[in-house]
Amino acid sequence: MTYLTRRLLWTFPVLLGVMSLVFLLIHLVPGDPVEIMLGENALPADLSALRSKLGLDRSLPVQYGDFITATLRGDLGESFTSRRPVTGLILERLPATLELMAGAMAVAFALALPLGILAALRHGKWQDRLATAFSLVGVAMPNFWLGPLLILVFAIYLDWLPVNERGGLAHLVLPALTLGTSMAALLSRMIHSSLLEVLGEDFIRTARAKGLAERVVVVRHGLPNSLIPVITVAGLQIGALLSGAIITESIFDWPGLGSLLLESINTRDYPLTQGCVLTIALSYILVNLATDMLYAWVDPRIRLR
Amino acid sequence: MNTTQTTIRVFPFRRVRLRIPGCGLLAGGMMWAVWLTGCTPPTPHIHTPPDTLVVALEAAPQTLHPFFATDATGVRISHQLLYRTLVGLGDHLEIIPGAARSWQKTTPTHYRFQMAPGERFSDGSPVEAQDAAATFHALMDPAQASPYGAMLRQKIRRVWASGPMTLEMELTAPYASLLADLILPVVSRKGLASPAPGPDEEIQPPEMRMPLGSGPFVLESWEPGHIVLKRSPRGGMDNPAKDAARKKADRPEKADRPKKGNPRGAARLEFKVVTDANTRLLKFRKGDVDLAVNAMPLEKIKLFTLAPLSAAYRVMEAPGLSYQYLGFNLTSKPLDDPRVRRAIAMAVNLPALIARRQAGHSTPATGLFPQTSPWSRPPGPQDPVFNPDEAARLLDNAGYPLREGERFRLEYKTTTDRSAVAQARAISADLARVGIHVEVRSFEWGTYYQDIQRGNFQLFSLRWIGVTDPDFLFDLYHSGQIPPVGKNRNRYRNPRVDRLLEAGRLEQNPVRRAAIYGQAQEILAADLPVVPMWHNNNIAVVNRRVHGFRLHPSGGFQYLPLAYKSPESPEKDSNNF
Repeated sequence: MTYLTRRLLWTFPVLLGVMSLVFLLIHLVPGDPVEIMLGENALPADLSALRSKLGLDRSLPVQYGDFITATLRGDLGESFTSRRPVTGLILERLPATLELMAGAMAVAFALALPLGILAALRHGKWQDRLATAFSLVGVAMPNFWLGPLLILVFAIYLDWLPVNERGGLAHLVLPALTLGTSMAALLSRMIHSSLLEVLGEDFIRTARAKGLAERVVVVRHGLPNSLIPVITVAGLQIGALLSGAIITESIFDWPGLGSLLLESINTRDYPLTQGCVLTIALSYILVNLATDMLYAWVDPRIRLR
Repeated sequence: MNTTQTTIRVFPFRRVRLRIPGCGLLAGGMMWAVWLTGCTPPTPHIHTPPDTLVVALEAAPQTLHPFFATDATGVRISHQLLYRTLVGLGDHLEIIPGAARSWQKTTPTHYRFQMAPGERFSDGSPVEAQDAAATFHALMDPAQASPYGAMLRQKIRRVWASGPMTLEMELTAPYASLLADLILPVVSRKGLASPAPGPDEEIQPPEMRMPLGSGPFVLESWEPGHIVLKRSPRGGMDNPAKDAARKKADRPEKADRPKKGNPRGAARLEFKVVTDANTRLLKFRKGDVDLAVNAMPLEKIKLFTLAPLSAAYRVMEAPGLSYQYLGFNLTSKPLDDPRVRRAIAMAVNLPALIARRQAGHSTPATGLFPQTSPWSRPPGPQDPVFNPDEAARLLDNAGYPLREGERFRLEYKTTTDRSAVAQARAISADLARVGIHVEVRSFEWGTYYQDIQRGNFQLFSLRWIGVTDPDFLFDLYHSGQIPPVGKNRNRYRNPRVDRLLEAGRLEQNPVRRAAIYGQAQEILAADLPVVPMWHNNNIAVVNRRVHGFRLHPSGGFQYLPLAYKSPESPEKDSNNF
């Protein structure tokens, strides 16, 4: 059985664990979705009628069994609040999340790669210190501050870009910059330290001794060998972006999965919360799998078994 | 190496040389940022489409379905723009015609409504009594699980159409407040009989299909955070065959009458959900938005009266119906003692709270209804006035003397909303001055709401919005209305108030009814199950080129269909700010 097949098979127990955990947690958190839905005008009879309609009057094990069975059939249920299918709601938001994620990753790599490489090549010089300063500022700046600042400068004063909302490429720039800056800061430090370590290796000295140009030494020999830890960190960051962009989504009114999950938790919309968490967990698993695959591609010495 | 050497003087006047790496670039960047932010801010250039009003919302509607919309945004768009309600609410909180032109109380428990002739749904079909009857049947059907169902089933025994334009309604008891409960949308019976798609089939996914309405607008598109309505080709206020009373009610003020532009109001309404308050402000700075009603944080309103925003926007402000109160749990010691409650009410510096936390955009409350309401309670001698010394004396008399700087401890529960937490902390600081230690605990809404419903609290503060009829006092203070049955969150019990509230809801004579509720409100003012705090003003920020818009006391969108944008000179400050 190939590594890929085994990893894919492992996905099922992991997802089952996630489903069980999220089901238990959301049901343990105080707050009755039926009371929230019907409001204070509702009579006890109405509350119990709706509970019965939504299946919330049954015992927790029965509800759990139904949830697992329905999910295995591909049915994530209907949202309590909007009364629309959960799958539809998630699919409606997923493209926005993926778009923001791709934009943020592009910004992160576009900034991190040149800065990290420059800092490693000019170790101890002003370029290195500048890159370090960028990293510190990038990591320290919270998104809720950076986002409005970028809007103020680029959308209001310079009038180059729109303030918020999802739209064309111009709409993506500021949210991607906001989200990508902190990631770029982290990645540039990773690239810097990893490349610095690799550049001190014997095979680099050999490459230089062979008379190869410094550009070839760095790009062909140094960089690929320094990318493993960078890929690991980038993989984790992508996973975090799927659900962790709530603040950026809120500032730019980006209709992503993070804000949908937050809304569903606030309204105790159990099916929607479960659906969102399941989607995020599945994405995490797939990103991790892709990361592992990437290791073997970047460094052929690695054999996945 | 690009470094900047800076000489600074450090006490006691020793010169120190700092070498800051990369400082040149950093300093350059910072200087540019400072220069940029120090520039004269650009005047907003409003670039919204000429025939479209762009409205900023602070929250997305949970649903626009007329049977299920209960949140403020959902009701304002669904019940006030997409659908016409059976009856409406006028500027003076009186009941005005809606889909029903007139009504008659034939007996105390029987109403007869005449539907407005010429009223049409967006597909062109006439609005008939059968549609209204079918709507109420659906709303009252327990299987629908509409949040309005319980209240309607409690008050209405039977609804039927006795003729094409005559709707009959038989009540379970002679409820005096019935008409206020009927501000509910009338939908087409066609949509209810079968889930047939409406005229917007091509743009609506099946799950979004809603029954047809006769409101001034129809739904054009609904994406997350972005809702577009277009002028209904047949339904709504443009219908020429309106009854005279509604024509009068809908007619714009003279000053608001169109000079140029579309006299029938904007062709499209575009709602943009901007959840972050700072981003909302920046949208105005950019000129992306025409209008926002009660959607700007109070501390930011002043910015719209100053340059550069004042050049493009005006602020409209008028008394509103929302009522903020500080609630006590009367089953929790020492709050079961009215002297303690009065002491707390006297220890809280409400004028300062209104000035600081509300930026002066609220009026002090004497009860549930603002002074603009016919049901308001005039200020009286028993209203608590800020007086910490008197509060301390009351607490001493109640048996809570100051011991080691503290009398007793209380827990104040609030939501995670920033302004709610700030308000709670200000109240806590006021109470600390008279020796009451208050621990402020904030929870997200679901947990908070459950705790309030289950009586798991001591102090809390919430707001009632849009209450127009005094029968609501029954829900709030009758001993039979303690949650989960009703809204008596304070667990208040007073047999005398119970009797008055029971009598008031069945009393048909308006004068006697007013006297009953006057008495009940006086008792409540003495017992203080809650401390009335303030009524928030309704505040709209409006593009100066928008004409015809007026604020409704409910803070709703009732007058949005009349608003239009003129390419002419901007609207002068004819508003009441």
